[in-house]
Order: sequence, then structure tokens, then C-alpha cells
Amino acid sequence: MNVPDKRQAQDRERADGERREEMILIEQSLRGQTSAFADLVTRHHREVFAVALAMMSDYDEAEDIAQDAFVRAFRSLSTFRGESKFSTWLIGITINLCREKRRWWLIRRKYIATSLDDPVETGEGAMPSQVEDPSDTADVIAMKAEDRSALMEALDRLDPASRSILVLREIQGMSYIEIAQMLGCRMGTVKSRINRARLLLRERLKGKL
Amino acid sequence: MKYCRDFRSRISDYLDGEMDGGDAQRMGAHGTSCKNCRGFLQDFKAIHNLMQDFHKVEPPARFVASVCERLEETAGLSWLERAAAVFRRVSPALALSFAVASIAATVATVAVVNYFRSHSAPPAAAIRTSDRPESARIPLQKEDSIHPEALRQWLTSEFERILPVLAAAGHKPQQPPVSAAYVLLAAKFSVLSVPPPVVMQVVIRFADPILRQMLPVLEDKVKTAVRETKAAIVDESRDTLSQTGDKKSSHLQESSKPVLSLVPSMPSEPADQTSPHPDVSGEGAQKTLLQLEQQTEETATEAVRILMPSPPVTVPAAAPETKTPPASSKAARLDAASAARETAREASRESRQAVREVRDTVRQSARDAARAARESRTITREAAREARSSAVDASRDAVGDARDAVRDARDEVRDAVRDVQDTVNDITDGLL
Repeated sequence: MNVPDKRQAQDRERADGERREEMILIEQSLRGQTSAFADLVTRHHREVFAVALAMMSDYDEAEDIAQDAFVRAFRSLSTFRGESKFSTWLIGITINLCREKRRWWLIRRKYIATSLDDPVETGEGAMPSQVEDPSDTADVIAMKAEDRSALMEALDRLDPASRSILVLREIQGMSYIEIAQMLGCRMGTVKSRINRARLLLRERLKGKL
Repeated sequence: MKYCRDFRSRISDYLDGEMDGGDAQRMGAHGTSCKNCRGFLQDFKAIHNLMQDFHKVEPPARFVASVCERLEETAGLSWLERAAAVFRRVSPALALSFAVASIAATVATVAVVNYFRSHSAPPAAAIRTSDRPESARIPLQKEDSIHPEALRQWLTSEFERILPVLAAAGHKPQQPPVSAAYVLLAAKFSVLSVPPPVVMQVVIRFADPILRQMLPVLEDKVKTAVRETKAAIVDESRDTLSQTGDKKSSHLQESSKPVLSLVPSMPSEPADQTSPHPDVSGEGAQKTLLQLEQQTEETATEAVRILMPSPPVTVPAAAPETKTPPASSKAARLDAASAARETAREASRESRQAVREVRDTVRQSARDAARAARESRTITREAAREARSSAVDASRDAVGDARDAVRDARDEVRDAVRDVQDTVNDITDGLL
């Protein structure tokens, strides 16, 4: 067995181990042990939050939705059949919540204008969102901030379906087949929507990339 | 140029590794050699890198703890209470508007319970309000108006109390109690300050007939209040009489009889009503209130008239400690009468105020219910619009896919034609 094969096998083994652990935690959660579910929250809260943030473009909204997603997942844990990864199921819940919330705001004409670079209200006062790489210089940070806010704006103008698919691909790293299964659409649709979303983003970010 | 278009339509497949080896190699080669397509490739990679920034954003430090707190909070709650908590969290504004509407449901529950009690209990003349247990009184007086916990406990106890009464009275435990139960649920949500839309629907469905029963019941309440006031006047008169003397009280008691005789003459019974729902309009209630107020005034005036021209009392010399000068006795009686009249006026004023407040609440609730219904219609319309737009998107995708397929097929045909031409050329070359 050559080196890449060995690494792949190790990765697969690690993934299987994690999945087994998750299944044990899920069983314990189903018996009402919230501490077991807290472990699951700790494992997945970053990715759920990242997806919520990419979908909503608002830090506070993302936090609310991520929390709601975990609470809803806990309540409907008995419906999780283990056919997909737990994280996939969880992200599905998050995406649905984001769509519901955006529809809600759409009806009420709320313009979500917060960007990733806005300071975040915490218990200790307003803090900047931690998106900077410590090795970046001030110029690079400023440039990145500008790019990010442009990206947010461009993402915000995508239609919900394309945005969901793009987020699942880019943030969650899901394959086209997984996305098609999760959203119940055809592979061709996933392909064309991802490509069209990227082309639109490119067009809207022209001169900023 | 043709290949450039193909490259751009499949660039995502290439970047995401969703392409087989041969195609990927061709795409890679084109991406390196073509200047324009290289720009596309770089831009797509830049977008991918930018999107990865979302992973760098830290969730709030207390995120996990907050989720655990919420799980613990809702662990022992019923689904209704959990739904209420979720609703409150999702939208405080909507929760507030529903809460206002559900206060009407609470009031309606009170009305329904009272209605059934008044129709299954013995005649009200035989009931002394003060004999009722404290828990059975409606907690809607000003001092504890709509205190959530008190209201919840009261509603629960009332609902439990009313069931055997209904059964004993031979009422079919169907429609009205069922609506009462639903409205009780709504009231429960109002205690939590958030009814979910489904309860709102129930309120809209059942509130109307229930509210129709409400005003007569309120009128009953007012009548009861007036009766109590009259009893208080009589009691105070008696007290005054006993304080001013006693032996002579036989005379005063005689003179107070007309006051006592006024009590049963008050209109207070559903029995003398021609219908269990005599007049559900606001005008009817207003009219009754005016009548009651007038009668209360008359009672007080009568009490004063009877008490004021009291005949001179001969005070026995043997009881100097009880001796009271007639002038001071008269003054005391005057004071008592005036106090009683004031009490009657106050009670009447408060009753009117209470009815006005409840009526305002009901009207407001009806308005809120209508607004909620409008909002729900808007949501449905938006959902339909979104579904339509999704369908349009899907069909557009399908058309795009079909167009791609046609383009691919055309390319294949052209390749095949080219191959045939090449073969023909080869054959021709061979022949030549």
C-alpha cells in the first residue's frame, strides 16, 4: 500500500470512529442526556454557525439560527435514521431555518445589512468578529474586509436556492451527489446552479477579486 | 472560442473535482493556455478562498453554554409550552400581538365558565357572593388584573370545577366545553405571552360565539356587585343603629326594613330573563348598567331618607353608658348614610369602568385577530409566490440542461461527421 492509500485508509478509519462515537452520543441524547448532546453541539457548532452566517449575512441572526438548529435537532433526534452523516442532517435543518427566517424578513421588508466586519456585541462589550489572520498586515486586513463585505452583498442578491447550494458546496464541502440528495433535486440542477451562482458572484465582484 | 464557452459552462465541475480524468486534463490544459479562461479560473478560485473566511468567524464564546441552557429550560416542558418558547424567541413582535389577542381568549374563558356556572347553579338570589371560596372569584379586579400565575391557577381550577357542574346539570359536554377547553389552551398561552398560530386559529374559530355570551355575564357581575353594595349599606346601617343605642334599635330596625325590602326587588336573575342570551350588544349592557346605577342611587337615597328623619329616642336613665345625645346620633347616622351612598357610587363607577375596559380589550382583540388573519394570508401568498418562482427556476434549469444536452449531442454529431469525413479522406487517399 503506497503512502496516499495509507493516508486515505487512516482518514476513513478516523471518520468511521467519529461516526460510531456520534451514534453513541445520539443514543444517549435520545435517553434524555443533555450532556451527550452538548458534546455533539461542541463538535458541530462551528460548521453550523458558518453555514448560518453565510446564509444570513448577519452575526446575531446566525447565532440565533444556529442555536435554534441545535434545539430543533435535539427535539427531533428520534427522526434521525443514521442514513446520512449527523452533520449533514444538522446542516439540512440549519438551511431550512435560514430559508424560513429569510422569508420572514422578506415579508417584513427587513434589510439585513450587517457585515462580517461589524463589531459583535458580547457580554464584555462590542468586540470585532474574529475573521482576521494574525499574520496579515493592516493593508491585507483592510483589503480582505472590503472583499468580504462585497462578497456578502453579492451573496445576498443570489436567489435562495442557488445560495443554499453554493453554501453547501463551499462552506460544508459537500459533493454534488450529497447536495442533490439533501435538497431533493437532480445532479444537473446542482451543477448548473453552482456554476451560475459562481458566474453571478464573479460578475458582481468584478474588479474586487 | 467554442471550447472557451464549454470551458466556462463546466468550470465548476472541474474545480470541484466532479469531472473524470480525460475531461479534467483537457480543461486544465485549456485553463493554462487560454488567457481569458485563465482569468475565469483565478476568479473562481478567489471566490472559493473568500467563502472559506466564513469558517474563520468564531461563534460567540457562550454559544455551547447557551444551547445547553435552552435544552435544559425546555427539557421538562410540554409541546405547547415548548412551541410557545420557540415562538417567543423567533418573533417577539408577533408574539406580542398574539398575546394581546389571546388576552381576549382568556376573558372569553372567564365568560364561558361564568356562563355555565350561572346556568347550572341554584338561583343567584340564594347565593351570597361572599360565601364563594376565594379561589372561585375571577382574578380580574384592578388590584390583581391579569396576573399571569393567578390567572393560570384560577383558569385551571375553574375548568376543573365546571366539568362536574356541567355533568350534573345534564349539559352535553360537547361544543361549548370543547370551545372552552380550546380557549383555555389559548389562555394558557397568553400566560406564557405567546400563542402559536394554531391556537390563534382556534381563537378566531371559537371566540365569536363565546364573546357573544360575555356581555350578559358581565352584566350579571355588575348586578352582583350592586347586590353586594346594597347588603353593605344595610349592614352599615345596622352597625350604626347598634352603636347608637340598641333598645331603641327596635324602632330603627323597623325603619330599616324598607331598605332590606329593596334587595330582592333588584333585577338580578337570569330566571326572569326571556332568553339566556338577552342582549349581547354593547347598548344592552350600557342600558342595564345605567339602570343598575340608577337603582343603586335610589337604594342609597332611600336608605338616607329612612335613616335621617328618625323619631326621637327615649334613652333609659339606667343605662348612662349607652346614652347618646340625639344630635350626635343623628350626625352619626348622617355620616353612615353618606358613606354608604359614596360606597354605592364608587361601586357603580368601578363596575362601569370594568365593563368599559373589558369591552375595549375585546374590541382590540378582535382587531388583532383580524390583523393576524391578514398577516397569515400574506404569508401564504408569499409562500405561493416563492413556490411559483422556484418552479420557474426549476424549469429554467431544465431548459438549460436540455440546451446543454443538445449542444453536447450536436458536438458529438459534428465529431462523428468529422470522423466520417476523415475516414472518407483516408479511404480516398488509399484509393488514390
